Amino acid sequence: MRRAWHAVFALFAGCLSPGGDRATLDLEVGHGEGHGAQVTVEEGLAAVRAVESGALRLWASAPVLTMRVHFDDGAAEAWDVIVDNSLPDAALTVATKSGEVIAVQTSPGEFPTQRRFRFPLGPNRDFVLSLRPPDADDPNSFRFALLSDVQEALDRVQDIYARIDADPSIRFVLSAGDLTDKGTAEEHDRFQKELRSLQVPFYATLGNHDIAAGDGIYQRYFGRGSFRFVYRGVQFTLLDSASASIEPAVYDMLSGWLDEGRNRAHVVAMHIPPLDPVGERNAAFGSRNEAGALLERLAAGKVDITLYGHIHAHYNFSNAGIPAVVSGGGGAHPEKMAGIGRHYVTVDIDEKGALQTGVVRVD
Amino acid sequence: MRYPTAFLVLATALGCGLLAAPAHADEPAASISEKPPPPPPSPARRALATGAAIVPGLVLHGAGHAALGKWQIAWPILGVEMLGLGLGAAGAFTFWYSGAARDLVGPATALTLVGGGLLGFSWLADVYGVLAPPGGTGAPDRILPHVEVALGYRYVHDPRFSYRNLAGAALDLRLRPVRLSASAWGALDAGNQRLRASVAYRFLGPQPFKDKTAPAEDGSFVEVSLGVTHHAYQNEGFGLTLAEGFAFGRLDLARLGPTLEGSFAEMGLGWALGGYDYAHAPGEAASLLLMRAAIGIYLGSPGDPHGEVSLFYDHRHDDYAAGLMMPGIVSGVLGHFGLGGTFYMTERLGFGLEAQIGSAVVAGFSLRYRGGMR
Repeated sequence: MRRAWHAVFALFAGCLSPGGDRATLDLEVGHGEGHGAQVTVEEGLAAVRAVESGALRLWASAPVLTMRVHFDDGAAEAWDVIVDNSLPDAALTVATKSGEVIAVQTSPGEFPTQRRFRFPLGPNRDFVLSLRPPDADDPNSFRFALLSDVQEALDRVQDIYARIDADPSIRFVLSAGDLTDKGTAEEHDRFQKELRSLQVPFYATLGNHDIAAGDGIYQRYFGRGSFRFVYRGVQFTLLDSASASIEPAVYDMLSGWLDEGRNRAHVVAMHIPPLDPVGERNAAFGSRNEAGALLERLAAGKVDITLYGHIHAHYNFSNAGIPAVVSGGGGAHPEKMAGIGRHYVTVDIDEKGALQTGVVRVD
Repeated sequence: MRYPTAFLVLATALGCGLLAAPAHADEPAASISEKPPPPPPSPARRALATGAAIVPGLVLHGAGHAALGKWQIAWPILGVEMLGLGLGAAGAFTFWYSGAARDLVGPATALTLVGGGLLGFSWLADVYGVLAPPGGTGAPDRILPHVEVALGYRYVHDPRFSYRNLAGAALDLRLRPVRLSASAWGALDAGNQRLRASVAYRFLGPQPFKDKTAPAEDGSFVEVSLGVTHHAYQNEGFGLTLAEGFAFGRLDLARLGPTLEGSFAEMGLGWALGGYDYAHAPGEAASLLLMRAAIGIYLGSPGDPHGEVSLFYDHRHDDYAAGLMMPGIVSGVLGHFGLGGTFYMTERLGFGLEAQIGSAVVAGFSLRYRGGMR
């Protein structure tokens, strides 16, 4: 009887985890094989776009990547590693299993954020590839930009990119999602083509519009929805809240990420905010209870700032005492009478980990 | 009040219904004695009407009654649909055009929800009217008890929280038009309690028995309430406290026509303001739009075992069921749906059943006692 009771609830439980498939798909990101090569990107920080004969194609979700690659005996003698969405000054180090460093040829990519590398296999079969920019551990201050909710305004996004490119202090763009309007493969394809003019990489989580055409398309293009990386001593945690909730499996990972980030500056970004600063609107989590529980966890984890999208305006507020920014200024249908149109937010982090935000109006 | 437009609409909709006398009362007694009631529709015609209530009734509400030849009921049902469509469209357009602007989003959401509620009412009323037996499925209590007590159990499946089994109690004390209510629910397997107290004033509708006062005409009522809810999540280290004002009403649909006897519709709007308290952070303000719409039927009649059951939408995002999880672009906005009812086997003893789906699935059972019916 008890089993039957639980079975009934398990049936409904599928309705209670609309992002469950995406959490599972996240775990598949960062793996690829073919043509005698098997690639694993640590922590899924890059989507393995293709494993071709003699070439690996990746889309980076973070500035620093570590990849483990095994080549079968029949694999090509030399391999190209083509990394899209990379910091333009990132370099690849290739080491064998025994720690021997292999010489790597670097050549310019087709656009600023594409990096191309080539290395020979020699007698070795197992390699550790490390992609790092020269300032990966630099403790000095730096700036990144927050840009979200481009959606149907993809035709007009180039002038936002031009403004970002005009600020050389911006190291990368962080996005809280809604890159596309309907989430189709064609839109994702178009989005990545438009990104080619941007001089810095674009690290993103996904929004509710990005999943409108079904789960899996976003991950195939741009990698995990929930992940974390560390750059210059600052932890960036991106969470998939595209279904107005966070999956239990992601909460399990978040516990570890919060522990890691407790003693460093910690930036948390997600698309749908746990709480809407305008409560009656509830462009927020479906459950106020889950929102409270998440914010208490972030506060206990000493998170320094939370960044959100979804609401097509700009708000500075506080949630559980953590400074919060909503910025949905990528061009999607704007909130009227909000006094702001297209915009992006700059976030400066100094050497002590203190954060300061600013708004750059594009319209 | 932040939503004067929506309250005006709600008040108008309820007022129009309440001002209409019950349908059985507007027929002169003489005409009843002179004209025998029309024979009930044949099974074939009822089947045709049931089909018509679905196609094209899903689009043209009232089609079922039209197929029965009950145009005097079909037209009001269609009118409610049109009103719902109009309000819903006005709200949705405002919502969309303004980009959910902070100063308009409350009224726009309220209008959309009221419109959606009316749309649900009109369709389900049409279906009920063609399916219900003559005289309806039951009748309401026209005199309410002074005291009503419930002891209950709820099973809650929320994959994001550890609690599953809750026990609770609720108490209603009625003194003429005033109702004092309190309820407490606590998890048996986690640190979680939800406490609530409210006071309501009933402007019209059934009340406890009072000398020299006739019972209410039917189950329709209008009341306003003020309440406070505190929900403590000890395991998770936070709590949410909200004070709220809520205007709520019920309309017995028999007032629209005799085929709808035994059914009712409810709607309410309100606003809650309060705040979170956190174990590791300072507290912060929170606000919430409240809206509830329900359509239901009476089961049995007072004097016999009887009760009522209703299908409802509740816009609350802060209770155990919270907001509905929906994949895609609308996730987070909607509240939860549910089915609930009470049934009294004797004048004093009964039970309640409930099921809700939102961010969590909730199923509950309660034993009920009431006293002071005379």
